[in-house]
Amino acid sequence: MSQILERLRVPISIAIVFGVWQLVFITGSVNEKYFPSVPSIVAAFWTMAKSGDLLKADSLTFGRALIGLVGAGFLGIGLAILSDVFPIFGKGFRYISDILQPVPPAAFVPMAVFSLGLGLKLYAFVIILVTVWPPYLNGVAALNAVGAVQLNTGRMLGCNTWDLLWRIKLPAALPEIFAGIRYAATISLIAVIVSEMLAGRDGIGFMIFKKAFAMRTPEVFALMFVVAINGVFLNGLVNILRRYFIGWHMGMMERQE
Amino acid sequence: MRARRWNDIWSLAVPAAILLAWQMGSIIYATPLFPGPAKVAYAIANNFSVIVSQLGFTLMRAAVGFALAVVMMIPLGIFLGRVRIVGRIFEPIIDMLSTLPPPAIVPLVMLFAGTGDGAKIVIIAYAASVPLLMNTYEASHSIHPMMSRVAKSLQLTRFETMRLIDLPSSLPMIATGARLAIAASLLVSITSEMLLSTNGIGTYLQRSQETFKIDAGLAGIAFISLVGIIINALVVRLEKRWLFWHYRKV
Amino acid sequence: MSEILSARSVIKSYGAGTNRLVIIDGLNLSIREGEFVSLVGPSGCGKTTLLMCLSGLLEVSEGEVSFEGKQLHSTPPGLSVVFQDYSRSLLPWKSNLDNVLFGMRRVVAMSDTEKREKANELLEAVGLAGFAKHYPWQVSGGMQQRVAIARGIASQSRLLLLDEPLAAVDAQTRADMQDLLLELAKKFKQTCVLVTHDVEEAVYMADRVLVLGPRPTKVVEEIEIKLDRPRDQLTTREEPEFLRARHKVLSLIRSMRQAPKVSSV
Repeated sequence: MSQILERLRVPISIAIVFGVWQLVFITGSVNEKYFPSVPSIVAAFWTMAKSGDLLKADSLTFGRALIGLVGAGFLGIGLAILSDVFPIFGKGFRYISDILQPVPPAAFVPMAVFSLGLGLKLYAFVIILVTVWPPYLNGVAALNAVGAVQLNTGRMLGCNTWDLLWRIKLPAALPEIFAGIRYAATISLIAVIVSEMLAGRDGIGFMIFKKAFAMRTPEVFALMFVVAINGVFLNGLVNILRRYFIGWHMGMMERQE
Repeated sequence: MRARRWNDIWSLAVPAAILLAWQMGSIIYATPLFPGPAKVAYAIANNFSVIVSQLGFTLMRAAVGFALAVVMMIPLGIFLGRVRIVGRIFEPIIDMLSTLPPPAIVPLVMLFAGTGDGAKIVIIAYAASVPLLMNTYEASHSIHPMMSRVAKSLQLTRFETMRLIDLPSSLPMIATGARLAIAASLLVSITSEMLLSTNGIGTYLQRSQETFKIDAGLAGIAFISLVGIIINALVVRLEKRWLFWHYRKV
Repeated sequence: MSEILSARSVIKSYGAGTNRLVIIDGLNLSIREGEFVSLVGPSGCGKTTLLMCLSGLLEVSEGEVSFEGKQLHSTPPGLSVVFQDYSRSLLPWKSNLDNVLFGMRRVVAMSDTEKREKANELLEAVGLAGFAKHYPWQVSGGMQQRVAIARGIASQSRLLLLDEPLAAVDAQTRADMQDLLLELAKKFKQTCVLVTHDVEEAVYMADRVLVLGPRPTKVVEEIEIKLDRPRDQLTTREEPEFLRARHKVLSLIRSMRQAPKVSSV
């Protein structure tokens, strides 16, 4: 019995969500204006998808998130390496990360709009500013934690400082760095949506805001679904990279369980 | 020892250089839309009381939302972890919800609940719920089987097991979730104010932009950062005090 | 036989003034080509620090260490170390074969295909022919240490410094590994310096056992082991010469434990 449940848990959970949703709708306990039926949401999605608006907006949003994430990833790793090679820089940069890290992306948008305009520059700036920290902080910690035995192994085989960094420290730190990038992917999507809502010209975030003001509830729900799909895609992309770069580590963790 | 102190002093050169570059940039561009650190410092002094009072609204809502999430999600997470079948069925639902960025639901909740405190607290509670629930569930369903055997041998009831065994042994992971949840509450609290509000630090930032007072806005951001740093330090303190047994073990 | 490794009046200390901690104080030793030498000493005497100095991974504070007549400042080609902690000295992101190949990174006289052949040959020699594509964490501890030994030899080494290589493997595997090490040393013409805390192992493996004093350490006694090769786990360990040497080493170490500040010979 429990095995059947185990195997069917994904369909069952989806059925529960839709079922409860439709039940609320049918019993009419919430005004339909706020709580549309599942078919009407699907219809709204279909209309937006057919007109091409959805694809255009989503490719903007997804592209921005991706550009920001890639930029933040490279910048984070670069800064982490710099901090590892020059500990004084690392210590000093720690003040900067401590100060900037708690500030939410939304707060930067209005301040940067005048200097950077409403284009890609603004999005790149905001996204990188908030997503660079997880890969950077994880990277610094992991590079610093590479074991003495591994370093000595490298030295014994004639690695110079550069070889040690490139062949021993960086590969050893990659799993931690990727954990940071995975977290950064979530943040980057949040940052894009928020920036689009605030800087308001295009993209999914702007669309959600516009439809909500027009009280088009089915469209809003459909767009939230699209946002969630974006999250799944971005995560999938990071996972493909993870499998390529740190497949060994994933295998090792599975084995230890 | 002495070399270390010199390193500390030298490391201050990094933030100093960045401040200097920023100041230089502001002098070169010479526009109120790109104020330098000196102007921002001046703005902090001028807007101190406004910023602090607005930040109070923000923190109040964030705290209420976070507290709601704690009260609901920790017990739910423990329950889902202990009653396995229900937990396994809920897992995909949690995963689905976790892919939805909390700010995206701001306009939606606005439709439901208007723009008042209630609406914002609902969104904050939702944002804080996701990491709390995920971490609590993850911790409580991966508790070592030995613990369950201990509970059985002591003839604890299911409820007692959850309260006396599952909750304490899940605490370290719950703490991690709580950290993420605190950050999320603050983020959503500020973001929701920027999108729809009449008070709070988010609104203050929007007003600063609308009136072209970028220096005052940056002063507000400095305070957000300060609050973030203080909360973080507090959390670290509390974790050390309450979870010393976990950290000593490692 | 010519000298391959020598240490003359080596001092290794950390800190300065009243905080100065001396680990090695005036150590001399000389290893001849083709020898198998064991280093034993009371626990905490600084064996590992000594090995690090002998391998050039640590600079000595005073005195000099020379390999093939040249003073050491870093690990030279021709010398390799096998660490005790195999799980950390093998790189988990490389397969066993790639780990061995990593050992050959300083070898220039071979093409990539030759290196590959050589690495496979070495893995076969340590009995891991079928595990080239496996990752270190997919095989047992004893097998991991054999990969590490293969990597050491792969670097075209002439001198192997073995830092308690068998301390972390289980007792049965250990005996097999001892014989494997002896066999490899002969087959690949390796001079070996084995640091161990296991006195029986030290005697069983070596031509010569150097006994180290308590910290600050130096060589306090040298014991020739006049046992025939090849050695055998059963018969060698029962020979009078084995028992004599074992007794001598053990009693020396025990005397040091009772009186930690013994002044040396």
